[in-house]
Amino acid sequence: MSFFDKLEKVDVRYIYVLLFIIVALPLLRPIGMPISMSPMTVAFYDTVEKVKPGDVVIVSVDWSAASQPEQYPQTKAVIAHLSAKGAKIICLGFWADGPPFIDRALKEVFGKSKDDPRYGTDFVNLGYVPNGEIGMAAIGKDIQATCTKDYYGTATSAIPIMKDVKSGKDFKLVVSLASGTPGVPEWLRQIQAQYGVTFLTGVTAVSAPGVRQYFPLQVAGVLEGLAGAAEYEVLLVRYGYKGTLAPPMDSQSLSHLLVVVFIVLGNVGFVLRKYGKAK
Amino acid sequence: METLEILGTLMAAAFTLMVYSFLYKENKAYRFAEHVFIGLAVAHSTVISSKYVWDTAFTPLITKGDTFWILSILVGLLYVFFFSKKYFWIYRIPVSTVVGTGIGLGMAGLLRSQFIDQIIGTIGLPDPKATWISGSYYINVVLIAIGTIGTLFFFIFTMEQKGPLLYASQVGRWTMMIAFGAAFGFTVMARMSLLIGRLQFLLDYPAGVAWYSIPVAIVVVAAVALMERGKGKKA
Repeated sequence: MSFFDKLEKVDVRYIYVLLFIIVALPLLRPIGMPISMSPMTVAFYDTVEKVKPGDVVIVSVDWSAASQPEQYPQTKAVIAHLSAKGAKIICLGFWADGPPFIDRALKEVFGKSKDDPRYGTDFVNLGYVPNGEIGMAAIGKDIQATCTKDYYGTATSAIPIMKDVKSGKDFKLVVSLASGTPGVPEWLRQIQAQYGVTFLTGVTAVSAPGVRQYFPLQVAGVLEGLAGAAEYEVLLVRYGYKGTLAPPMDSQSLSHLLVVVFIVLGNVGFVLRKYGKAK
Repeated sequence: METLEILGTLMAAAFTLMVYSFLYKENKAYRFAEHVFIGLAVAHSTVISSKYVWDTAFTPLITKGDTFWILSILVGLLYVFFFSKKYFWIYRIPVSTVVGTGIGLGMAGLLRSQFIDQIIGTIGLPDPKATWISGSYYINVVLIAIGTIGTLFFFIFTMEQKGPLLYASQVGRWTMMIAFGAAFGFTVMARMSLLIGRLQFLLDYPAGVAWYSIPVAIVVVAAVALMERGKGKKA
């Protein structure tokens, strides 16, 4: 039995163990591999940099717990960057799981969420907006009628930040951290195309190829998965932002290397078996 | 760390390991975790959606007398007929309302965002002063143009694909294969990210407490494996 025959019959659980070890080691002892910068991330950063103090920015958390490793770092970094720029941040979510993560991100960035004195003037969590695309169209027409209360139960009409925000025309920038439907195409159809608002997105790596075609005309910048979040964290260092994604990126690179090795081995084995037997 | 926080972390760690136990083999711990997750996700969505309906429709109806909401609430209540075999047809009224509204709204922006702007985006060049543009971007632009034209030729079915059309459609075929490969690569990246996220949570040593559950899980899996081997020998 050749090496490749043996490899083909190896118990898949050994491969799982190997993968776990490869991923776990850099988390315990980071290697510090370099993080390269993609043009989409740079464009994302540059667009947020153009935000002026007082500009109204919608941050929509359209992802669920399953995407947390990729999209929570994106969400937190975006809120931190917007806060540093002095934007008025209006957070909401078209996925039911989104608002609790907004609350957590606000607490980590500002120290507190609804108990912070800046809550209601500098940032707000409007909570969950149901009905996907219909909900997006509704906030574009009248955000106060669509979101009558914030996540904590306060009437939206009583929140100072919302006084001058009526419709999509008042949004300076929309950032959707999205991992599915409703997500980027719905935002583009209902808000970007209708009101000409500058639009940014952070997506899971799975969704990234489906979003690239919108860059740069319709989507001004994209954060692609964990790698995009890590790149963005590097750019935010100048604001004193402390990222957490350097060790995970080491794990990501090593795990990809392992997959590449297996793909090469599998293909070499296939070619050798096919043409070896033919001889 | 507070006691509740410690308990919550340990519970999350236990459920993570229960789910990963599937990699060893299908088992009851995995099934239990799967069912709990589905139950919790449905409950969470139900509560959040109900709260929204209460705040948006019932509260203005009761406090302000906005009778307009009665119609919406009544149409919404028709969803209940999903559970009736006899009156199932009534359930189609709210469904068709939502589907019709959704399609109508979708169509409004569809032509602009997913047709006209896409063509403009493929033809046009971005601001050359943008900081993210490098020399390789222009190479990509040429590749995208060739790939797009080739792919469009691949989907011409009204003419026999021979001669120049065949070469063009082969360019399209290769472009699509490369695109599928890139999509697969991104999918691997996403799946690895999920594993990394969970391991980061589990291996948060010494700050966290989740890692306590790892030796427990290893002992449980080893014990199960030994018991099964013992049963196998007896049989």
